[in-house]
Amino acid sequence: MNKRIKTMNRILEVILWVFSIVIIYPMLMVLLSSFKSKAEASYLSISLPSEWHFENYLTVLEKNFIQSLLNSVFISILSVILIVTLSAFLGFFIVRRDTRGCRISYKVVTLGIIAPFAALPTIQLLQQIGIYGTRVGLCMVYTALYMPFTTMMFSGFIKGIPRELDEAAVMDGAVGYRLFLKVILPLLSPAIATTGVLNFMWVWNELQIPLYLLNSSAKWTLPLSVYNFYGQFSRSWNLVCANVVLVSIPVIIVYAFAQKWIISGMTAGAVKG
Amino acid sequence: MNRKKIYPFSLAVIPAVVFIIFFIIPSTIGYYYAFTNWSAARTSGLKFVGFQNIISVIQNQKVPVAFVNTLIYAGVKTVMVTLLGFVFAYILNRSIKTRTALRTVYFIPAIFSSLVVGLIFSAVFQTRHGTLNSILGVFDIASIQWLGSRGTAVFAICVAEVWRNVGYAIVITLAGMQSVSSDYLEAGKLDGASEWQLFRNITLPLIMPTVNVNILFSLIYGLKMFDLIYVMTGGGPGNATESFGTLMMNEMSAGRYAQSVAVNLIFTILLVIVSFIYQKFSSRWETVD
Repeated sequence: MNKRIKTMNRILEVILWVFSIVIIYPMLMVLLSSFKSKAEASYLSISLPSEWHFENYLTVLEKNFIQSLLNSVFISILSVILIVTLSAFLGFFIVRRDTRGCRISYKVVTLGIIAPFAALPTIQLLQQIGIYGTRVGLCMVYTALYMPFTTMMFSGFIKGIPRELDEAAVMDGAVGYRLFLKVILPLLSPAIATTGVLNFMWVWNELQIPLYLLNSSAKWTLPLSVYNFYGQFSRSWNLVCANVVLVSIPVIIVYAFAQKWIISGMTAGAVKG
Repeated sequence: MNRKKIYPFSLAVIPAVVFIIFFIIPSTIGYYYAFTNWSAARTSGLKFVGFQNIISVIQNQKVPVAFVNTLIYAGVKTVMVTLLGFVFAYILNRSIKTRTALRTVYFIPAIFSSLVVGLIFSAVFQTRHGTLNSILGVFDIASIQWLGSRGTAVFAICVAEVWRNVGYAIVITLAGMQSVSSDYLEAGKLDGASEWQLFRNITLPLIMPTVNVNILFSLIYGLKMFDLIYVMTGGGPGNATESFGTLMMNEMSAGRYAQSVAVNLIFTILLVIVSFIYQKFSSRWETVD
């Protein structure tokens, strides 16, 4: 019996590795193509480059890449700070105050996970406020759009903190902001790390929203610049592949360092609902 | 002390204001524009035109096509991702020697943005020298114009989307499976249950809530698909592969602003209906279990 299970596992292992070619092959093709000449890259195969063209990367870097990188860094960091802070406050208030109004607002907020981005009405609104096309305007929209999911996650975490803790703090005279900042917030640090990393990845990778909200190329985020680069150089697969590799490096770095938080965040979100 | 004093409303003021201004207002009264004659050519002095825009986007077949495509994208994605995620997670939960390496490999596509995945698969499905056509060529199969007609293009987009998302499903399902206490399984084994019986009667019911949430998110994000389609086909050829997301964008780019908002409004209503139906069903499943 035991031996049968072992053979079975062995077979399944081999099947999984064979199947993983479907995953590895396209990635390897892009990586290798990024070092080829234009003519050679047009074959989109996984042969080794006959000559290594490292200058492909320089060509990409010269095309607005650094500026877009800086924009992406600024927009992602500001958005993540806003999303996480505001969601933590909102989640705390809704869970602890716990009135009928709170429960209704929670339903409204979670509806925000489902509802699609109201693109043109948002543009119109930003124009009226006078922040259309600005990076800060984009950050505000991100904050409103990503708050629902993050608030939901924080609510789950806060429900797990016993109310007795609040009561003890109130005895010591800590209410409102003080209660939240001094007592609850330190206990939320795993939730902050998780939601911070997840939101960073989402905001960083977003294409649709900046496509609507940023009009000048000086303010483009990385995905926007990559998309426009592709429009311009769609025949030069070597450059497009180099661009794809470059734009993926930051995400891979974040993932390598924050893997633990990403996985725990995804599973916590799914398990708690 | 009462709750009003301990948890003053001032805690929620800033988040509430931001949410109301930047989400609630555009997503409710913002849809007023769907009922006007707003366009690139006419941006001021808008007139109320009633349901004219909504009727026109439905009658000129754009919304019906986008509706069917969106359901196909979301449906195929949800079913395939859930099934594959389940099968792979089940295998990776067994005592396999290289399972850590395998898990990493299967999760990698999930960390790329849909834009990057869209570009990768534009190369894979390209007609001339495309990766897939080259491989098919080895078996003497003639080149196929994958992104050139509706059926194959929708298929290609689904493949790319599933490729990117199976990793998520594996990780979440696997976490669910690992949270099943081994005590139950041991007890089942002592009672002489077969592997299938253990799976059917212990593992499956215990991970169903996890799988349910997984399905819901797969469905929501599947219905909202934009990046991949926009990069791979741009909604074309014609409007053949359009989803609601790309149709909104393309209507705007064509200067038909009010029509774009009309599509947006129809899409919102559809999503709200889908999520209500789903919640009805999933709460029924849970009470049965």
